[in-house]
Amino acid sequence: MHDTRPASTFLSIGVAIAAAILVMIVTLPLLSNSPARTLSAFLMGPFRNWFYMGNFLNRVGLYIIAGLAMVIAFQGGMFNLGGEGQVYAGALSTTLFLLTVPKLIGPVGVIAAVCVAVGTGALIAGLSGLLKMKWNTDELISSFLLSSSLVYSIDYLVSGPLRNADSFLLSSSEIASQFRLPQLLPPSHLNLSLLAALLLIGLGYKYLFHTSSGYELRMTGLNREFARYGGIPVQRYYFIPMALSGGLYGLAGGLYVLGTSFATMQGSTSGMGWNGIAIALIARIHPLLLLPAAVIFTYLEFGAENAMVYADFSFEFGAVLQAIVLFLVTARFSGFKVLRKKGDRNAALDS
Amino acid sequence: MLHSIVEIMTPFLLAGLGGLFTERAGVLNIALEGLMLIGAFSAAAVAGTSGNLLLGTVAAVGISAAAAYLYAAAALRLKANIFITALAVNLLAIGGTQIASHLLFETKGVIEFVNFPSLPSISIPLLSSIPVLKGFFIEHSLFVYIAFLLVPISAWILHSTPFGMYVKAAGLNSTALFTRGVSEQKIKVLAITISGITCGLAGASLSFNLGAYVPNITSGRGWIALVAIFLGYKRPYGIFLVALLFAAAELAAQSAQGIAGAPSSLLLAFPFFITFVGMVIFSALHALFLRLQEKNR
Repeated sequence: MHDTRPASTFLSIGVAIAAAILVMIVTLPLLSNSPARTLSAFLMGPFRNWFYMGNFLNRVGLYIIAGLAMVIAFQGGMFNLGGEGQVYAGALSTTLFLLTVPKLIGPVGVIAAVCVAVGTGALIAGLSGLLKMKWNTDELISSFLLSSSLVYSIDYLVSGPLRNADSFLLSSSEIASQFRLPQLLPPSHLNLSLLAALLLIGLGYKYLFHTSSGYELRMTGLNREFARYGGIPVQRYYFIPMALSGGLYGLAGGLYVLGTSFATMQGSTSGMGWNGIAIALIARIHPLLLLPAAVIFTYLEFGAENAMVYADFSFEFGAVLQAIVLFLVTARFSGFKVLRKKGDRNAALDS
Repeated sequence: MLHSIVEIMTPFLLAGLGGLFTERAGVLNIALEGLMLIGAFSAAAVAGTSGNLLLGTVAAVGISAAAAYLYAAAALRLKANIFITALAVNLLAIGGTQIASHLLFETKGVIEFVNFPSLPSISIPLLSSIPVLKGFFIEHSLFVYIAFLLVPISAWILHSTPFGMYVKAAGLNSTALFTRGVSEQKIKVLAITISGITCGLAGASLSFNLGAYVPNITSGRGWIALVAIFLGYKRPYGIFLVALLFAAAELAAQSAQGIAGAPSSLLLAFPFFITFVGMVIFSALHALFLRLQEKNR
């Protein structure tokens, strides 16, 4: 599934992105009483001041990790539809862990919490991989069902038994201050997790393209039968890509708590799972393209949210944006002559 | 009790039967959820404003089928990945109904209509006097009977009509279709459109039963229907039984909530969880069955 024919691929991605921006530019002002202001809010998004910029970059970091989660799943030929629940569970497990050990030294607690977050996500997604391996349970459906039941359960926990009574938000208690990641651009939320994300891009690339396990994972993703014929133990590559994918999603949730929210709030990580899929597809499921992909996607989302402030009502434009991007990025506009040339057997995932 | 179970199972059954056609045509249709939501909103919006149930149903079926057709055309003609496209349909259904709800009714919450027509309940004369089975045939809406009728009808279409053969061939062996001069793509588009039609009906039945539109009214029913197709061994009567089972489980959960006072937010998680467990058990048994078969050979 790794794409080695760049030129026309990039062109088609470019067309898709341009189309997505165009759709936004046309629809957003329609929903508002002051189209000009809405439009400028959309386009200016993160560039208005350092506060916005910091929050923007912070989100880019988290989305890179979510995107990497899906890059690895897709490279291994697995469909992890449970990102929403894995991120949320990663956030909750991090919070709960740090709330039970409030006296721990900062760095030790953070490292342990990160392990807990990764482990939680890996466990949840790994279960779907294991079920696929053992009993051929469709991982696409099982990961989604498991994730959805987790999302509603965590919603319940955070708004009920685990709710911090002193807060007016539907939120758990906050983690102790020594566990909070260093802030890079206060008062914005930008923190150390952005650097972790950039580091992970390198690690993900190294794993996929310069280790034997990464090679086996990619070969299995390309063609399971062929990989088996080549002597690759394909059975375990039902589990490995799913567990890695879930672990990264869990990490995104954990880092969100450690650096941004300091508590698990109801619905606060919602959307990150789906966004991971969109970003991985924009990046043509290649780790090194995750940074630009995350920047583009976050810019669109951030801009849309800003525009909503100036619209006469507010709602989650996120779902619509995700839909537009998902569709445009995988569609091959065979009508466009330029894209029909030989290089256009692109579409990341053929099934 | 059977009466309530039948009411709950109807949307599962409708969406499952439509999804069966796409499944048999070789397309795992994860857009059932979104299509059902589109149907539910269209039904409520049109029936609520016009006061006409038939108009609402027609709108639900039409719009949902149109959405399904567009999804199929996009995935198959533009060669977009079909799962990603279906995911886009689901997400667009959530966001799109919200925007439409705001633009048309200036709310993104529950929409109540003053003159929402109530759904007439019908009893089938002779069948409703059978002791055990009368719950199936007494005081249900027309949607329930349509769903029942669609079980033998879809079995008949699948097994005894040329179209049914083509659908199965598209899933099993598309070269066979090619040699008959039938376009595999066309069959798949048709199958997906059929799932749009039944999802429209399923959505309409949800809205009409409530007499209002509630955001996320489908709450995972499309996914449950999808799993019901697998658990029903991809056969109409199997789907009927599984839908009945899931509905019974959901009713049990609802009454458990009433007795134990379980919070309603947790109740939202339950259908997903029970479906997950059902799916795991099914695939484990199926794997065991296959292994035994292998041994006996």
